[in-house]
Amino acid sequence: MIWRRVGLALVMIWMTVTATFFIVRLMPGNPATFELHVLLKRGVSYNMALQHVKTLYGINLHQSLLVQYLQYVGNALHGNFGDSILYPDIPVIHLIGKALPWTVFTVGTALLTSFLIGVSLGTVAAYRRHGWLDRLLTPLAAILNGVPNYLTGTILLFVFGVVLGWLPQNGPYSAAITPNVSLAFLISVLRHAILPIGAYVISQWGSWFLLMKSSTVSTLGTEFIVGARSYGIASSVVMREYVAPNSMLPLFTNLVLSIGFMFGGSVFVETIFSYPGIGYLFSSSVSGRDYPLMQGLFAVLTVAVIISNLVADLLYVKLDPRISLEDAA
Amino acid sequence: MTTTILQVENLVVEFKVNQDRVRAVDDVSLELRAGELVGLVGESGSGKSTLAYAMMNLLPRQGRLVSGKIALATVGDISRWSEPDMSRVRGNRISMVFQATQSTFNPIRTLESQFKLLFRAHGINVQEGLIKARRLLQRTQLDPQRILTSYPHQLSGGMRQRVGIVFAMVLEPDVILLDEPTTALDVLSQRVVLDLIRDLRSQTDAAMLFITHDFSVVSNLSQRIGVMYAGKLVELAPTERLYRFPQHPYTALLTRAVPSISQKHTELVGIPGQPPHLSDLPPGCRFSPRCPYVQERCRERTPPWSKISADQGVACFRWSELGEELANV
Repeated sequence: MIWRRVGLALVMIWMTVTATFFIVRLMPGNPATFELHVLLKRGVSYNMALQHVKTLYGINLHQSLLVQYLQYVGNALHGNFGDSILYPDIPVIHLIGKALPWTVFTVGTALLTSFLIGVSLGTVAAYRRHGWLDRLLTPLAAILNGVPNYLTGTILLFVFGVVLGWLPQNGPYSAAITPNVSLAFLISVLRHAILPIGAYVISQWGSWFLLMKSSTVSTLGTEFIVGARSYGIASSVVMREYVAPNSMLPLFTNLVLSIGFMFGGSVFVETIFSYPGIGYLFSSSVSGRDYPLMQGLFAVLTVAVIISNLVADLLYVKLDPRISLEDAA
Repeated sequence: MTTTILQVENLVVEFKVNQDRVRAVDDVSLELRAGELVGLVGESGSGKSTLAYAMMNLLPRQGRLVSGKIALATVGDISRWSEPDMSRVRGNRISMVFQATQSTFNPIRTLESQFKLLFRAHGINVQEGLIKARRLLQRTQLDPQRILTSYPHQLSGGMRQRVGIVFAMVLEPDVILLDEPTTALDVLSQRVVLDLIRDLRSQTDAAMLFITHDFSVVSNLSQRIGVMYAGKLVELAPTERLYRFPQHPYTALLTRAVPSISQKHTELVGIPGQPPHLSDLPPGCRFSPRCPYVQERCRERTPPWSKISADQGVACFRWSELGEELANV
């Protein structure tokens, strides 16, 4: 059963990788014609320009799309996504490897923070329904949940970076510091990460809050909570052993799935803060028509989403005895 | 005469229903004695379950115990106890078995871990507790090992209900409230559960209150039966007497509305009319609009509780004059 599920995940990865390859090539324009136009504008003759572009990118125009595809898939299996066009001579996988830790750090921290904030406040709001905290937080969460992270990011950047000048505006760490294991470097990294993380948290915690609140409210209404109380289980234990685990079950799937989607969500925030993560790489690869880089990024994104789906399915079976893997598949 | 274990005095429970206050239990007094099983019979909405929930201090949020006493011989009046104090007596002094429509167990924990939680909540050695639980489970014709390692959803409704009874009994409480324990079960499971209750009753000193809408279910088990109508206890008498010599017109009509195996060709008689809605009660006796023996005073004043003997009482103005007539209904 578990192998069927893993096999399904592999097939899905292959399908998206294939789709990515062809969809990227359907996009209007390509780096060669772009470069060609630049050269033509400078007054270079067409033939000269074509020759120049060919040598620059090492494009073999005689290869068919199918051959390119097979080569691509073969290389991708070895983790080789080719060299970047935008950053000449650097393998795509290196670029991704360098960007990944920054995104995992910021988005991961933000995800965990907003999950913890949402779950704890959501529980309180559910326990004290119609209390002042509930009345304050529920509309606030709904509103912030609807505000996109690039807007909160821009506002944060403007207020704390520009107007107040408390926190750095861009980059992963101060240019004056060389990366090494030192306190100064660590502080610089943290100071630079605060605003991006803040942007994610402000727009994310609301959805966790609302989910947790409604989930807890429905758990509190179930018969087994009354049952637990009737056996003399103290309220705090009922909350810890009965309410919280049962209410968090549906959120757990969302949490694991969000790990997969976190790379995609980082595009705007990392662009705003010039933060050298996956999202930043993404936007520059698209605007620079960097096919190999785009393909590599799409592959990473796809694999992350599908694997987190798989992990969510497998873990859910462990967490909820009522669900079997047959149901999950 | 055996000792009184639980004394309920003048209990009043109100519910808030859209700004209105509704008396679900109105001035009910009842006492339970050691080793005794008392049946509490009434139509749905008569307040019998609410009485049990009030005795456990487990009323839903809209419900409120307005006045009255719930005195346990061992610990005194618990009607005003706080939740933490209540959790110390629930389960080991007074416990409850719920209707089996929904499980009262935590769906994501094994029954063994739920038993352990119960023992820990009451500061009982877990190993000793489990030995007792196994012994009781064996008495219910269940395989203790299988039950303890199971999750609630892996058991049938009848099995869950038997485990629920073990849960309510394992700490040897003084009082066990059984709220429609067989209503949601199929006939065979009903039989098994009733046999179990009969078996356990003979071996415990606990007083049991068996709540049901079905006379025939409880009449073979109970020493006494109380009859509730629209939030009032209208009659309480030893089972045999209640059947043969009902003192309240409602009791007389209700017992005749139940088919009996011994009296073959008697015609079943329904009671004309509907029970009143609790938010729109008639003045005076609540049964007066449907009562064939109604008099002017019944519509004006509420009949007081008349104690006929130590274990019999009735709330009807005309009980002494109607006695003979009612016995022949």
